[in-house]
Amino acid sequence: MKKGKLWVFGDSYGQLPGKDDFEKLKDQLWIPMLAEKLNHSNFYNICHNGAANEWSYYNFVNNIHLINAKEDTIVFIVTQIHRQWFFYDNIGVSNHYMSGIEEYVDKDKATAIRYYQKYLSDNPQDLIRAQWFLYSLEMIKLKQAYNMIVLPGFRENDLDYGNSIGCLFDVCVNEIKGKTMEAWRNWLTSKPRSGADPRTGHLSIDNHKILAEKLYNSVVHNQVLDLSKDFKEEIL
Amino acid sequence: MSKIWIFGDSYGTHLANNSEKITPWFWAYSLGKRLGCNEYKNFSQWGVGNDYIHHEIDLHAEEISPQDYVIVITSSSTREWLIEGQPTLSNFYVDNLHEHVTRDQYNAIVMYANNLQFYRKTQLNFIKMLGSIHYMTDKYNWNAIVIPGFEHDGFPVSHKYTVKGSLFDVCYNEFESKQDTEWFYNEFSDTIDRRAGHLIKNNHKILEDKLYNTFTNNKILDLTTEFEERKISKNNIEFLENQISEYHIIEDRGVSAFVPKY
Repeated sequence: MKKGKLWVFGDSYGQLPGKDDFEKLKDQLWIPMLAEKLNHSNFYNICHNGAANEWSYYNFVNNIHLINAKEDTIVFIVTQIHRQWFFYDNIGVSNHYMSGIEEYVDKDKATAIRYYQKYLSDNPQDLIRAQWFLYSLEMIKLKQAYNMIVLPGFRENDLDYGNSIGCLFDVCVNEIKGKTMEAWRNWLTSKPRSGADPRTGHLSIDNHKILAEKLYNSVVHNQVLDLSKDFKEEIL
Repeated sequence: MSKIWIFGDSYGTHLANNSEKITPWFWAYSLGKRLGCNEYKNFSQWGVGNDYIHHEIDLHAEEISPQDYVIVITSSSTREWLIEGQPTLSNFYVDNLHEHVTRDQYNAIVMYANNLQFYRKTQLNFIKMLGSIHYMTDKYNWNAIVIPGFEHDGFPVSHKYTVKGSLFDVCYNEFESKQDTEWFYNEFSDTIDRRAGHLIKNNHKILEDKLYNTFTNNKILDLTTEFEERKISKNNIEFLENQISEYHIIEDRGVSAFVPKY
């Protein structure tokens, strides 16, 4: 009998396609696959394109009363540390260095962001906030005895991401022939993509299965979550 | 031999920015001696936010041993360390901020405060900061107590010990009336509070006693009772002689507070 739920908090690495595509792909995507492997009855996906860690943490705190420590599993996707949840209702622009941000905020807000980037971001704040985020997750995990795993979407050398190696961004980039940032950027910006990554969660279907397997082994067998090997590479 | 470590904002700073003034009755300074510590490591600084306070903790985390005493004073959640070289300007709601930053920095801060900061986020950052300190307390097995300097919205601020109230309560209750509070800040004290750690001398002793009992007998640190209250007024100020800092806001805003060692 199935029991418990899988909770996924994070950014676009956890995003699922629209309803129609989801119905077609659900048996091949890492989130439903992991829920199935863990024998959970359902999953809750609280992820958003461009979201900051603060937004994910906020949703976690707001849902904490619904999480069953004995039965549920939590996956926390950690995003880039420079992202800031600047606007309560406009989550996607937390990735404030993205090009064309003026299309998504009014003139005053766009100016405020530009000034912030130019005059106020040259400090250790991003790193400190990220450490607060990771350590407080660990604290909650210990206190509540949660079955929780941190899944690094990105990785900073100075931070402790727990029992893991590498990050999803490397898997994402390494799928492109050449395995370099430049190759990835060229692939992403060329037509027909024109900047929009068509892959669900920035991964090809083959790698969803591998990721689900790795997460399962980390959750159930406490294995190191190694995102630096075993994934399919240069397939695009 | 053990050390006492203090990390915080102005609630942890001594009277002066002058190395000759050591304020031996400062609560943390005398507490360390009473606990038998042979080193006083105080990294508090006026005007800083929780990010800077945590940064200082990180810098010294590996040096702190389980035999030491650690006190963390949390600051207001609205403060943010926005300019790297000037952490003492993290309270960017002060009136004369423009005198201590460039015009562009000033405009950037005003726009930041008006457009990019909101209450839920600052509150959330405060919760995360507490979680991080609690985690480090367990990770390094520190004998640590966290004291709220300001508001804490009911969140459990401390971890190993129980704390009620905040230092702001003690500070604020020292005034006879609201009018006396305004007179003290706006006229007598030249728009900045020049009490050592924002407390009168007698309340330093009371705070020291309370902390000593918390560390040695695991007593609840209750900051809501037993402190001297309604002491400062326009008509009763002489007793503050030798308790007031020489700090001058016009010249000194933005500089670091001097904190003694032993």
